[in-house]
Amino acid sequence: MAESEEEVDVLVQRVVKDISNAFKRHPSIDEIGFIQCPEARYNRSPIVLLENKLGVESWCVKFLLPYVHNKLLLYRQRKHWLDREALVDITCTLLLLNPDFTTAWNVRKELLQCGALSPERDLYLGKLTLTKFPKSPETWIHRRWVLQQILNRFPAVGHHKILLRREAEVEVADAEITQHANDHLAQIILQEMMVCADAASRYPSNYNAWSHRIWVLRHMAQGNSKVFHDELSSLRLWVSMHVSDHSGFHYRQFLLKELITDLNLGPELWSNSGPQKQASSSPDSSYLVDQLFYQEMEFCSDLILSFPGHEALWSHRRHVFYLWHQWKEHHRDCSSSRDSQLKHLSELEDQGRSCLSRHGHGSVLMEVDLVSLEDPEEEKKLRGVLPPGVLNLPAEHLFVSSLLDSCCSHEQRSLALAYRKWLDMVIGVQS
Amino acid sequence: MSAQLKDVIIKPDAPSWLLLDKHADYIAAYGSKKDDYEYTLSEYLRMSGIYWGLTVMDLMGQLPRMSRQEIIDFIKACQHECGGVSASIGHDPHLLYTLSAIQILCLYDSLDAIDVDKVVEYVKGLQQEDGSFAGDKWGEIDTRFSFCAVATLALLGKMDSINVDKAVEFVLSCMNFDGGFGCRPGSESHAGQIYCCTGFLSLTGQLHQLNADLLGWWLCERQLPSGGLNGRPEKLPDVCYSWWVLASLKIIGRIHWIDKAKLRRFILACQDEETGGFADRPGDVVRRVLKSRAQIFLQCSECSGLSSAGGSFPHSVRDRRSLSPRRRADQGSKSGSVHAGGRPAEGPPAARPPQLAHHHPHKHRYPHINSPQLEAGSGSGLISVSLFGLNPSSAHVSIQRIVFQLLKFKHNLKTHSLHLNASLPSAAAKN
Repeated sequence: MAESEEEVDVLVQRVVKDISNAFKRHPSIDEIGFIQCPEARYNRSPIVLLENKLGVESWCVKFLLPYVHNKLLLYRQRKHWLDREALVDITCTLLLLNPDFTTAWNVRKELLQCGALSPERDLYLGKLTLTKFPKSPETWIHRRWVLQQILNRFPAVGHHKILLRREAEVEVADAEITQHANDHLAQIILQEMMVCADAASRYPSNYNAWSHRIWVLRHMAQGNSKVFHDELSSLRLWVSMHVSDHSGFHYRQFLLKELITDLNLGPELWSNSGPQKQASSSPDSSYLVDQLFYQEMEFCSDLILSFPGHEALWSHRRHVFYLWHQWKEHHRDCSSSRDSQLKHLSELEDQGRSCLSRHGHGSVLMEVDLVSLEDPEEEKKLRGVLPPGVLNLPAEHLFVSSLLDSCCSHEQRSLALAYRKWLDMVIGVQS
Repeated sequence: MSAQLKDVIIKPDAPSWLLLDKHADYIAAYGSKKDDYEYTLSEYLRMSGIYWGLTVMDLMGQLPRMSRQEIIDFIKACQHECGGVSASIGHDPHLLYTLSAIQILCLYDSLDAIDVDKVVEYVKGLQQEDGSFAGDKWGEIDTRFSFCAVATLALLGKMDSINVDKAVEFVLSCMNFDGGFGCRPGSESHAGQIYCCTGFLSLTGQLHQLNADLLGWWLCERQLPSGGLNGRPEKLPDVCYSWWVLASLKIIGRIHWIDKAKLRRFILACQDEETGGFADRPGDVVRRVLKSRAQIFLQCSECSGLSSAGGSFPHSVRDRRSLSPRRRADQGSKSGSVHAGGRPAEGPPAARPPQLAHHHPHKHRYPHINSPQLEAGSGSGLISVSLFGLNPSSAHVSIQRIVFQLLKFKHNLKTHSLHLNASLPSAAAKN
């Protein structure tokens, strides 16, 4: 093991080089980690590469980190010169060991601005860092900055709505460029979703990963409801397998809210007249909103019954019901005079009260014939896919009391009681 | 089968008294070895670390053990041309460490050591069009930074240099259906972010914008059967939330909604009897990596947690900067008990009449501990809680110092027989 200062110097420089070479030779490295190994046992590099995994033997970290750390700080104080290549290598090693060292990320931002680094390369380093430190706030912060740089390259693409609004004006050639940019954007979004999913699986209720995911949708996919729909359906399986992950459920709530806002605003948003918030939802979109809510509540009931005693599930129920309640209230205010189908749907609810006892125990089919729809197409759609649950305050109370009748898990009972209390105190007061 | 509750069991032999001397020694040794691997790991937040350490030493009456001049010189060396302050020498400036620096200088009554006009310019320059604040010139947005900005300016008496209305508008746009706040609009509620936002609203005189009952409900649902608090549903209890959750409850006047005896027991059980310092939760090994950060921070949280659960806040910190307290006018709960079923609670929230805190212009280091205002309880320390309680890169402050005095003087830890005029908590050496 290295002892003297000079020996440490030589050792560390070699290791920094080894890491940088490993990345050059194996661009497909997809995970990093430390190998527990308190002493250097063989006269060989502490950097180990195995099946795309880069390992650092732990004995060298206590030499390596202070060395690269101090070197970068000396550079920052203009006491020691480093060329661009050396800076890239040193910050890379440094951040793989200590990803919350903000200043090192900032040095890379400067390198990126002067063209010495590509944004893609930095996104890659961040992704690797997150395999070892999935929460690291500074890594996520830097990632957003890099994405913002990419977005700035094609400003019109950042906002899907703006893009579409302008579409009529642009030439065919521009349209091709736009298409290309859109594909690129879609690719980046997909990549970010994968990075977030990976980090979310490595650390439960990973606040930074999930709020990054929200940031990406807000900045890169606003108005693109297909992305939101895809996310909602692809996340279904994930949350079913992570029923205590409050952040995962919060993300679903976010998606629902965005989709509802989008549907509620309707196509007016896409026209030149600008958004019309009042009563712009078509009967079709009202129907879709109802459908989204029914499906989510039914999904939530299933999970609560299958996995008793999870606070995250009950908290999800609160939020979804609250959103539905708000939407209903808002809708009643805006469109009482116009929306006949909505009326039908609420009639449907009233009728549905007779089926309450079955709610919460799987799917309950409604008598679709009770509803007469003006549009036969709609009717067909409704017959085929209308999720038949009932969503209102009495139905929620019934869900709780039937659950209390049959459940003996202490945790589940107290969560159900807390939900009942919440319904009384929060929703009850508002209704 | 029901899920296993995510909580801990406190063993009968866990510490049940406060090991003051051990903690003081632990903090005094913080960062003494500069080439240390662990020093390197946490240097990126050193300014905040110093701040947390100083305030807790002050709390314990051991501030003279820290080198005042060295610390002030260090802060001077960390101020940059732009006016911002960095975590350490050679690091980049950031709002988080700018606030910590100002807090330390207030503690030492030495604001004239740095160019405060430039600090004001720096903070002002980080406000965005939508009212939010970037953490530094690279542009990351977070409600934590809104807090840092107003806390810094409040301490400097320059709140009018920013657009406060816009700043408030942004923070309110981050409020969620559960009454809590996230880092950005649409982000999940998180106890740490909630602390920042309630502190922000307190400093800007906007507490009436909160739904205190709803938020208080969410906050007191963070208490688990062990007495410990978590930061979000289905997370393990962690001693750091003793600070975030309690301080938030204090600010909104709902601190009596949690079970203080249980919390106290939990916090005491988190102590490390051998090394001093605290683990995240009882029975956990004190984290080696980031030890200094976690420990000192937890330590601060812990003292404040104990104290705010046991006593009320006097106003010497606030008075030092001649700040007037702002608090909710509607301290009462219109709806009676909103406790979730099955949650430990002290009892129904008492309907408290609006009670305006008085400003006491005395300059004593420690105020009249027998003054009726203290007996009257909550509220009078609001500004202190929101101003000094913090530093959102992870932690806290100076209210604890005072509270701790109270705790020494008035009661609480029966194992101690502390004396009013003792400059050192001699009797704390229970062991």
